[in-house]
Amino acid sequence: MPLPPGLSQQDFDSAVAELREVVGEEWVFSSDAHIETYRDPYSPLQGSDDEPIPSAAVAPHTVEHVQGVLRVANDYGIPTWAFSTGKNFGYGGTETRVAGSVIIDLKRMNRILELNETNATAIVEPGVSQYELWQEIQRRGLRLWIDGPSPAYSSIVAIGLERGVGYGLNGERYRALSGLEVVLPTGEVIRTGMAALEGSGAWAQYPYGLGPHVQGMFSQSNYGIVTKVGVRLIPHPPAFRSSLVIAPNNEDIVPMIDTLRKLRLGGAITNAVSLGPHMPGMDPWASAPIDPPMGGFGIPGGPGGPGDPGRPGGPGGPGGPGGAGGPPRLPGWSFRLGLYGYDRVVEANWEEIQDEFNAAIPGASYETEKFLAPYDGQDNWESRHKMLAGIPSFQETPLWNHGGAFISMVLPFDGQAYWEFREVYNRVYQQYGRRYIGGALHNHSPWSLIALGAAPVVRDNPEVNARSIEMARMLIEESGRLGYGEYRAPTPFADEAAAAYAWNDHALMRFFETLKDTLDPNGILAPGKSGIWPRGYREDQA
Amino acid sequence: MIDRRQFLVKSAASMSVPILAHPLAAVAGRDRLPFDIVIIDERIGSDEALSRVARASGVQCVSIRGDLARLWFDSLRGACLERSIAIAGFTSDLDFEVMRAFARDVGYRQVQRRDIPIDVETGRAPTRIAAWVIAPIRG
Repeated sequence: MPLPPGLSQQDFDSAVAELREVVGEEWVFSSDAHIETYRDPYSPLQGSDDEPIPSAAVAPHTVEHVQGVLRVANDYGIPTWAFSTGKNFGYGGTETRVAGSVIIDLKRMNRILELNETNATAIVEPGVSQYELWQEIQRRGLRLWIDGPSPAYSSIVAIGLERGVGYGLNGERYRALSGLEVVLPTGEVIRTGMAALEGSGAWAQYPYGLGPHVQGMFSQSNYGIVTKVGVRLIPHPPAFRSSLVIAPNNEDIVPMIDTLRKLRLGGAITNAVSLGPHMPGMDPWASAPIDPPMGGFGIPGGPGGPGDPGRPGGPGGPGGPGGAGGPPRLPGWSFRLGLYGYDRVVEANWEEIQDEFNAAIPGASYETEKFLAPYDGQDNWESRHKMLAGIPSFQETPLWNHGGAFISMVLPFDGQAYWEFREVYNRVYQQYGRRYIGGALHNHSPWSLIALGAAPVVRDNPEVNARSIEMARMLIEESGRLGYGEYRAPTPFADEAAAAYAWNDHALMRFFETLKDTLDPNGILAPGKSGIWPRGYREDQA
Repeated sequence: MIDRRQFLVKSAASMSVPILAHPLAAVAGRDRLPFDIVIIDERIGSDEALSRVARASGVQCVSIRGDLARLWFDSLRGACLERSIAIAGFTSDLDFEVMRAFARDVGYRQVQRRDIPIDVETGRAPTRIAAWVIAPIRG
């Protein structure tokens, strides 16, 4: 395995010995067998000379351990890369930017420190998965939902800090976080928001505290290692209606988006919906990253299979009714909708929603089911209802081939804008011999859409993966020409995604770098994360 | 392309390391399998003979349906932490990659893997199935 850059074998051995003193012999991993487990199976760099294989991994159990690990890293100038559980498939997983980095695996920091039903809040460490928090809620018999459990094994802290997508009331998972405890690269520990009060009585209630709101600095950043987080949960509503809204034609995506925007902005729809190609018998969420992104095209079996509208003879494929030139003609679109609240309000909103879609989309249809509190049978609900409610579920994973790296662009919540964007995406996909099916459209908030594409990753096929890397870079570049950028980027594409934010000669990146150089003078924490490189690396690259 | 009835035969025969060949050897007359738990995704198809031998030889045979993660949290993780065991699986490629990440969390790793194209008779695309074994990392 590679050594950290610039470090001799002797110094590396000394550093590993010191790490063992910090966390204990059995929690430092440097054998080839251990390091192999930290390679990202969905990296397009896998098996190539550019794959940044780590040199060692360390699993701290306490804040003091984290401080000790960073002290060793500073002493030896070793790049580190921290993650909560490392299951961020499709966006980088365990992958670092610098070969020879030491992984800081926070899996042992998995304590639920507080769980409050009255205020619907929790305080947790980064190694707590959504499913484990759910199990604890169940064990205590609390009437709480978590919201956005996608996927259930992901870290509740990490999916928030990475600003991942939820499907319930909170939608954007970052908005569920309130108050962080952070170990800075220098080893100093700070708390943000109300958590900065001694004996804070409102840690998870109000994220801002007094003065600058710095919580966001530790989201998608390399400015510190988050060790505790306040989390906002969802109290059981009196009524919950779970529905599927179906539009029957390919072109219906435009009025579907526009009607959805109206209803979201107007407050009739409060959950973060995900739209996808409507495949009878398949949930639109299957085109969302509810589980590891195999295929990433939203199509059973992946591109080219019998379920693929873009396959030869398929509705959008060569020889099919959609022809080979433009984007595939899809057999309609659909999304899942959750309504929450008092029963009469839920029912009134549901009536209005149907009226709006019936007026905008001839032939719109619906599947719906209502549940009333107490939700004693919720464990037996189908996954589609659990996802909307905020109950972590392990939905049946599709039998997809291979994997993908996501390209996730933020668009205005506008049907025509998406229609035009889709043409651009399809042109790039075709340039690389692939077809853009339409992917999933996530709706974090009433104001934006996230259009999901994916660069296929095929194990043991560096040629395909190299083309995927080229395609991803082209998608980022072409999207940038339209004024769109990624909300979150797979680790290998972080530089390109960050470079798109170029206004005023990359002034924002210079600001990020100023913060980085100040907070992490030795550049030891996650160099290159989100395209932010410490001074030493920038000078080497120049 | 093979069908699901041929799957286990093909998978075992194609393994370069004999560990996954043992199920069929067992079917042929052996009375002991070299792992403690066998997991089969029912969408791929369970091999009745394997199941019978597994039961007869004291190996736990578990059927899943694309929900290996639930099995992990509900029972496998505890079993792995409690004692050193070897787990064999015949699952989707996707489920196995998640399993590899779970295994890392408890000091286990993939010790064997074979990808096999299979027609799962679902009317969907041909796919690749992973035949695999995880076990504790030694040393």
